[in-house]
Amino acid sequence: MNQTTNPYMPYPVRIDRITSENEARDLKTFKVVFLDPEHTKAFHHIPGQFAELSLLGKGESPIGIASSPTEEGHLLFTVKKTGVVTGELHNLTEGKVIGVRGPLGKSYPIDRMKGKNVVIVGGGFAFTTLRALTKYMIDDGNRDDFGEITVIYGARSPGELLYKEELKEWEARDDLKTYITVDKGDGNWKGREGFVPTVLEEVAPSSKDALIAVCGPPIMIKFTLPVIKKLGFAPSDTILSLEMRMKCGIGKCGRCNIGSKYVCKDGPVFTLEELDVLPNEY
Amino acid sequence: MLEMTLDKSKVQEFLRLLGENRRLFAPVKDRMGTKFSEVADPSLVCLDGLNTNLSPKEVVFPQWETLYTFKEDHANEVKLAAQETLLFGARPCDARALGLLDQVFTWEGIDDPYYLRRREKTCVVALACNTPGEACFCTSVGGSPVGEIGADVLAFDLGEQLYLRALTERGEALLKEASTLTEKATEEDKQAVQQAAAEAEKQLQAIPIPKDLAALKESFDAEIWEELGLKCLGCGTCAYVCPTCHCFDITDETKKGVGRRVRNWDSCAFSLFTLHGSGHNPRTTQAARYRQRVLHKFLYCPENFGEAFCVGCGRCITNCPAGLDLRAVLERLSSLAKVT
Repeated sequence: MNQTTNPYMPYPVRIDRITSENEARDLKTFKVVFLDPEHTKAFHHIPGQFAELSLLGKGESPIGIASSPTEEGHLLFTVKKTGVVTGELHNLTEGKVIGVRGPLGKSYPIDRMKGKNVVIVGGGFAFTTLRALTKYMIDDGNRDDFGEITVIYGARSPGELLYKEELKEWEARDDLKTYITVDKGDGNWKGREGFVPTVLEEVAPSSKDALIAVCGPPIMIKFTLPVIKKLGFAPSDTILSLEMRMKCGIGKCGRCNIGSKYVCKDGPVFTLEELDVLPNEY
Repeated sequence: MLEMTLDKSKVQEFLRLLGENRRLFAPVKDRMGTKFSEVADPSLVCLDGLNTNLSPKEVVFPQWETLYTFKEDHANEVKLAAQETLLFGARPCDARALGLLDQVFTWEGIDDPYYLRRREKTCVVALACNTPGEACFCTSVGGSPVGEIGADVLAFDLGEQLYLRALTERGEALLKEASTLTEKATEEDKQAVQQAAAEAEKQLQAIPIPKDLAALKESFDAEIWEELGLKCLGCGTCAYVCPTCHCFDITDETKKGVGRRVRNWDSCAFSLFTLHGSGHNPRTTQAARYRQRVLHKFLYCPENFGEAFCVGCGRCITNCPAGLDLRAVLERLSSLAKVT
């Protein structure tokens, strides 16, 4: 939290650009810019953290921050049209003012990742904070801090892949290995077909001196965790990010707990080791 | 330590004097029993009742409050000032509960400005219980019918007079302000207080409280929750009457672009409490929701704050429409803990 005064007040931001991400047109990326330059300076996030997007009159929705802090001057949020707040957000046009409250929660363990190989495994629209993490690691000035970087990202169909243009850039780079896959291709798809866990098993990144971060739909996580284990990643080196219904985002309102841990402030990023001792209630 | 007595015939005058520059909250009779209300006329104050239906937590954490107002896309902060407040006649369990709420609303250095503005201005005069109620079990959860935690002044009803003991600087200043109405407590008064305290504690039976946290963790998958979940109606009454329950919702109220963002008490007993936008719900059964309430108080809070979030006031027991008795639940959990 940067807001030292009132943690419930959102910062006003202007929607600078809206990108429709998928064919189903229910995923949009909102690039937002703070109205007050002081707020830009005050907002320091680390990949993995989230913010409450605030629409006055509708409510708030906790959304992972998809941009890296190395992308200065703006924030990115990729939002699926789901309920009241996100539905209204999808109706907005560029130039409209909304609110951002945060940054909230714990980030990916960047310090632990430094000097190590990092494997990123993402599925569907859960790729947002992994995009922030990857972008952070490969940006100028940071790339040398990390060892080999492997990105495995999949979606149901080519049209459902997020950040399509950027993925092409990543594939062209020689300082990270990018594996993009879809469950089922279409007529134009020349890339890989196959489920994320299968591709992970084929790529078989080494678990030596490496951490693995994985985000995706529950069904993907279910089949990916055994592969991660088989590859030899320790539970303490396996990083996941959870979703939970939230309100305050600061550990007061009592909505997002799993056992004694609050997803809003103790997460959303957890190691598998931390999750293994929590009750199965998420 | 300032120890005074106040003739009971002067209680109204005492409250009128202290209420001149304060908001006064005290138990008053209403059609449902007694209730903590803001009192303009001290003659309405009723100190005979034991536990009010609702705890006085609403004095510092109202059931409904505005976080900020807005017009179209512009949010306006509300003034976070609070008036000096006297909470008079809270029972020791309720005073202790305020101390527990303090921990949540300042947890890990994140202060809740809405709670603290009121809490910091609230002087608590607790009234010790001479005769605890049938559902009371404060001594079993680390409290006492004559406990001092969370209070600024502890009062005892000695029949003809109230004995008042200042516990904090704020409490001492309060008593000094009303010194024209009070007298110094005599040795006789102090002895009478000691006797009353001993007798009050004697009347409370100890009930088993599960304290083995590892065993409580094991109870997560126990069958007991299925059975209790079948009884629980999911009405949320227990959370609303509980002095330590603090879960809240944040909602918007709006009309033609003008409105306010408010927070309201909420309850983990409600099925929508954890429902995700995607339709996924981590707690789909009433069993899971009832388990959350009990384990939050007796396992998760001890893990996070070092103590259970239950002060033994018994309100959830007397007000449960399904007759769920927390004492019986705790007893069964304790015996589960012994087995495992």
